[in-house]
Amino acid sequence: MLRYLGRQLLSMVILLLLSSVLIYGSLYLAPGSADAVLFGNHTVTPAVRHAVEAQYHLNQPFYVQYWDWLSGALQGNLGTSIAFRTPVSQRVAAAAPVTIYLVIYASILITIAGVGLGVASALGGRRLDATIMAVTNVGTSVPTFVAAILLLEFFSLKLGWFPSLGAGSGFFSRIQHLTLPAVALALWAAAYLTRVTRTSMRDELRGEHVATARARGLRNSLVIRRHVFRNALLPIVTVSGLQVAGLIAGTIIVEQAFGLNGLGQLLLTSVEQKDYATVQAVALILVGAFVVVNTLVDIAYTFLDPRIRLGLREA
Amino acid sequence: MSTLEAGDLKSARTRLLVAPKLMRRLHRRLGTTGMAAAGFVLLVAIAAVLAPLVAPYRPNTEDFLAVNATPSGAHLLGTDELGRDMLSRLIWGARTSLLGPAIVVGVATGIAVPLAAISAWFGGTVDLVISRVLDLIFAFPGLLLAILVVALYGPGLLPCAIALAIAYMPLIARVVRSGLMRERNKAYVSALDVQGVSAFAACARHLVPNVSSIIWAQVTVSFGYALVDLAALSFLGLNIQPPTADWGVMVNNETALLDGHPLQVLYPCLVIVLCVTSIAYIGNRLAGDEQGARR
Repeated sequence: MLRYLGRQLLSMVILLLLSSVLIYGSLYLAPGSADAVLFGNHTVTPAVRHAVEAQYHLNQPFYVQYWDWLSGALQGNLGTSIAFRTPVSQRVAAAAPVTIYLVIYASILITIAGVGLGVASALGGRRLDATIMAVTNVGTSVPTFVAAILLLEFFSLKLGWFPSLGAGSGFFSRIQHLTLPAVALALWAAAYLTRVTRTSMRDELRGEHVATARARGLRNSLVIRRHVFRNALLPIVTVSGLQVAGLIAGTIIVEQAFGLNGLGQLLLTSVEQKDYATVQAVALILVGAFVVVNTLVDIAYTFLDPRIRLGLREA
Repeated sequence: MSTLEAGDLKSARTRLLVAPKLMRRLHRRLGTTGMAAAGFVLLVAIAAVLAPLVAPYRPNTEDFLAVNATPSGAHLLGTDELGRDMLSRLIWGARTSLLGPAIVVGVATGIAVPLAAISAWFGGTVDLVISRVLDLIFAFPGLLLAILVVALYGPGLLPCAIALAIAYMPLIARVVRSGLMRERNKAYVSALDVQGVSAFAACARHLVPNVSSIIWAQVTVSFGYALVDLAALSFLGLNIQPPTADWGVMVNNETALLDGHPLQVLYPCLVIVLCVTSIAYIGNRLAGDEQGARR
């Protein structure tokens, strides 16, 4: 088990390192990157150019610059935004809360709606099942940005139930502001999780151990809770974890649609302004979060299923 | 003369007979709903190709006398804030909206299938190395990769499509590889080997054609995902740029929503959803058949 954990963590670290090389390297190669932003159309004397290059370490070889950047990033120093001349970490810290709230809010919605509807669909009557399946069909065929626009139009502009722009301040105002974005973000994943939960529950319901438990006269609720749901949990946890990892890219779209100043919006504006230090930092954070969540899901999977745990020990 | 006519008639008749046969085979694979879905996608594709002929207006013809017009005889779906005909923009928009996914899927499959074949044929270390590299790429979200590439090369269809192709390639390669692995262990492969058929010829002429149904299912499913991702990138302002007509660009029009002309945004939304649903249904049908056959 420990060896498995070690291997999993090692591959995560390798993946993170390679992603960081890719992120840093690709923008390092960008045509006319820092110079153009720094000097614009001004002609500068070689001495000034040299001094500025030294200030931003542009005169060092690639691996030195990369190492400076990475070791800085690990200590929370994400470099200096050349366009704004402010520390990138400041801008990231200002943008991160909105994105974090959004992802947590959407994850809660996905789990509650996905598992709830999936269980209801598996246990309920034929009509309920058909209704829920029809809803999930719609849910999985509406792309996130379309869902965002539709929710904005109907619930914010037509009905006026929710504010259309901004993230709000204070806990309750924030919840009100982030409800539509979180629903847009959660819709696809919740519909998918509903289907996985339903299939998994149905597979377990057909199991012989359930028939045995029923034959022994156990209460139905106990059978469902202890013998069906608990066994059905494995694919549910895996899928919901992977969906949460997928949300990280989705936030970029939702933040743009609802005008939220989160990490995704910061990434997009930085791309537009060719503010490479900020692009690198935000991309590293988003990819890092994605990789870490995926690894955690892999580890959780083995913890949940003793068969996998034992099988690995023998191997 | 008369013999010629008879020959013509015969070939015409066989041609007529071939078409229903093909339709029947398609019907068996896709079902009635699937046939309807395929018909819809085909219709959109034909409209895209024939856009100059079928669209009533050019996509960027502005008519300041009919700004934000409601649907009428002159403009079947109304016009936008510059008086451009919505129906024409939807038809012209189908071009970029379908061309992009075609590039993504073409490039991704073009890299994935040879890689899968090499992986499955040689096995061992080669397979291990290729699989590890694919896992690495797979761990990088496609949308983020596209944003990085745009940061490098500026916005446009090609950078976005190439980035998504790289991101989609591992999944296609993985599925095709597992199909080829099963083929690899069959007796006919050793027979080919004994006959002295080269590895390349064996893969190109026998193994890969034998898993073509798996490849087609993957191509279809990926096409649907690529359509969504590219439209989302257009929506973010990273792919097709306005004023070019593109479905994703047309959805990114919040002024129309705020000014009370939601239809201008809802039409492209509807077209995207219909296309994606149809393609996903066909893809699932094709993939499901494959799984059914395996069991």
